[in-house]
Amino acid sequence: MASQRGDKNMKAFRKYFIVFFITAALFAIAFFVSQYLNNRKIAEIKEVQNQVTIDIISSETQFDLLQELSCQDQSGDYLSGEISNLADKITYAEQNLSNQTELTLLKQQYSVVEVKDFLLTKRISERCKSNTVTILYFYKNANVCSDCVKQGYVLDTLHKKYPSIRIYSFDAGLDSSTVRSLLSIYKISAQQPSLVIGSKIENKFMAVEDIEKLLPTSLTAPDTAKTKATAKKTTSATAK
Amino acid sequence: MIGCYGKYMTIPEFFTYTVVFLALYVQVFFMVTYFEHRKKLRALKNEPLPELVNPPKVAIIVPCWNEEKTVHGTIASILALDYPEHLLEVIAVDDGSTDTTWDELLQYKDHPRVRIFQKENGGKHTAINFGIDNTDADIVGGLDADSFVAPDALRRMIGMFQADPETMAVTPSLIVDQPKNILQFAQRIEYNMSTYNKKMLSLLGAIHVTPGPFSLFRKPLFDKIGKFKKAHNTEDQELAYRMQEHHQKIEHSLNSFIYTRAPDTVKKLYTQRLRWIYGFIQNTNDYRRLLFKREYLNFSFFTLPSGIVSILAVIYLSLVFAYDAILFIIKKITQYSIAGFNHGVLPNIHFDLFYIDTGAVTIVTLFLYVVLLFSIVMGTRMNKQGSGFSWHILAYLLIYSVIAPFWLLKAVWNTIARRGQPAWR
Repeated sequence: MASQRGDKNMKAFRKYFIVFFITAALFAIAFFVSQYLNNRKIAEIKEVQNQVTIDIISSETQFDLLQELSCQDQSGDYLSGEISNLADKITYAEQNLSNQTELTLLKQQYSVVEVKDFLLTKRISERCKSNTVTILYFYKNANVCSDCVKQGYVLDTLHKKYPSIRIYSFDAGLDSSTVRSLLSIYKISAQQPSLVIGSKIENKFMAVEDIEKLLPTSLTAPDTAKTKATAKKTTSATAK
Repeated sequence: MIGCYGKYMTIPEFFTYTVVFLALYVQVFFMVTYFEHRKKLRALKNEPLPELVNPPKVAIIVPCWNEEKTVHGTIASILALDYPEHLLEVIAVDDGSTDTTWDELLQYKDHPRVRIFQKENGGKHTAINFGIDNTDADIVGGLDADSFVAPDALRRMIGMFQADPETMAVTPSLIVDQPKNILQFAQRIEYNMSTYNKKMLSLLGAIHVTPGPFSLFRKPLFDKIGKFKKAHNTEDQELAYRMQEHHQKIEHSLNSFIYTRAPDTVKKLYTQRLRWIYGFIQNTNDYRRLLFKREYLNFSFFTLPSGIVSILAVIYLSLVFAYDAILFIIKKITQYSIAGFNHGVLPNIHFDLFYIDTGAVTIVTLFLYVVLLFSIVMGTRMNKQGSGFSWHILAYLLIYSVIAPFWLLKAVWNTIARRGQPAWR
């Protein structure tokens, strides 16, 4: 009788272990599938990054060609629309994926792309007197900069309202010589959020109305805004 | 702790993984049990009606408290049972009703197979015990006055008693009777799943409830371990715990169907479930000595811990969900205050597969839902309610995800705050 009960117990406990291993195996499969899919996402970002790299070269070439063209011939569409897509994906990946080393590299490359576009825009604006408004936005992680989250919403709103404004966002905490150079050139304080609107530097949170006051009236007038809504968004301004 | 990609796992992440692992473990355990006994279960699909040799005398007790509308249907369904008439009696006990229940029962005063009693209100357990004390039947059972029995149910259940002399109780399969609104359809899905779970627990020898509607007992059982107790208004659960403690065998008759009326409003459902969950917590606490003891095997290592895990899992995951929902609302309010409704609140409609959550927790949760779906489909087929696939499953998952955390939290709160047992209805 006791031996029968012992056998029954043994069989039952063996089942507990088997179920444990099945459950653990399901977990392992989930981790494997998750890792595979997340790697695919990183690969997708890299693909977009490559596309953007090609776009840099082509925009530089375009600018060189522009020297030979009249200002009426330039479209104002220097960089690929993919750059906005890339910004959104890097932001999402930073928040949801764990492959931080690769993501940091992608972000460093992305900062270079932004600076390239910024310089190109400025040069064309000067040459053709197009008065394109550019905003440089320096943020830090939401953990150390709570206002950066709100500033991100403000810039998103501005971009929706005035699609012709070119907004470039930079992670001030990123280990990037390009970003460090920008911080040094514009004398950006350690306190974020910081904004460079045209030639004006602001080291504080700015509401939509505050920024609008600094924009040219030709842009903020309702009908003008519509006609200028041709340029592409260059970055997602949402703070990380 | 190190996460899957070398990233450190946070404490909430660790808890989430643990809770999901345990929840998945419970469902996989049921599934493995199903496949372990699949031949036996397949054979039960076409189980013939058993031939009874020397059938025992059976008494069905109908405890009534303000059941004027349903009591006739209940008694009629018992009298219509396929069982020798001289061996089946109905004992209707009016437990101090304040409506016309007693007047309704008086119509049976000269009925040869129905005996009626009236007593002061003392709770359902006292009404059933009153019936037990007033019968000399070999098998005794109860039938709530809001339930109806399929004609062949009794014969099938008695067959199980006759097949195994060690079987001291047999429980039936419960089906929600004539669901009319979405809440009742959702409960029908839940009851179907319960049939699957109960059958698996029966195969494990680890049933923890002998439901009020038509569970049958050998009468000597009550002499041996005592009759029903108040037990936090969950007397049917406490008796099952006591039976497990005394190694009394409880079986489940898969093809014996009882049709029961399910609450038709959220408030009624909330009250019922609060009572059940509070009762489970209290009874488990009262019988905590049975936890993790080899001699009680699956009841001790699986049934009770899985019940505790289920409560904790639902509470934890609903709190995590509520936390995320609050963060989302705060974000939207901030966006609204900064950018107004059009720019700040309305989402950008832009679909990209890239943004689909591919985290490990999401994938494991998907596995959990697949296993849950398996139990719902199997339970629905066991209850002979169709193929098992229906949009009501979605309704069940949505409705219960939203409202179940409330009664679970309230039951836990009542326990912590020592608020006492919830009302019957």
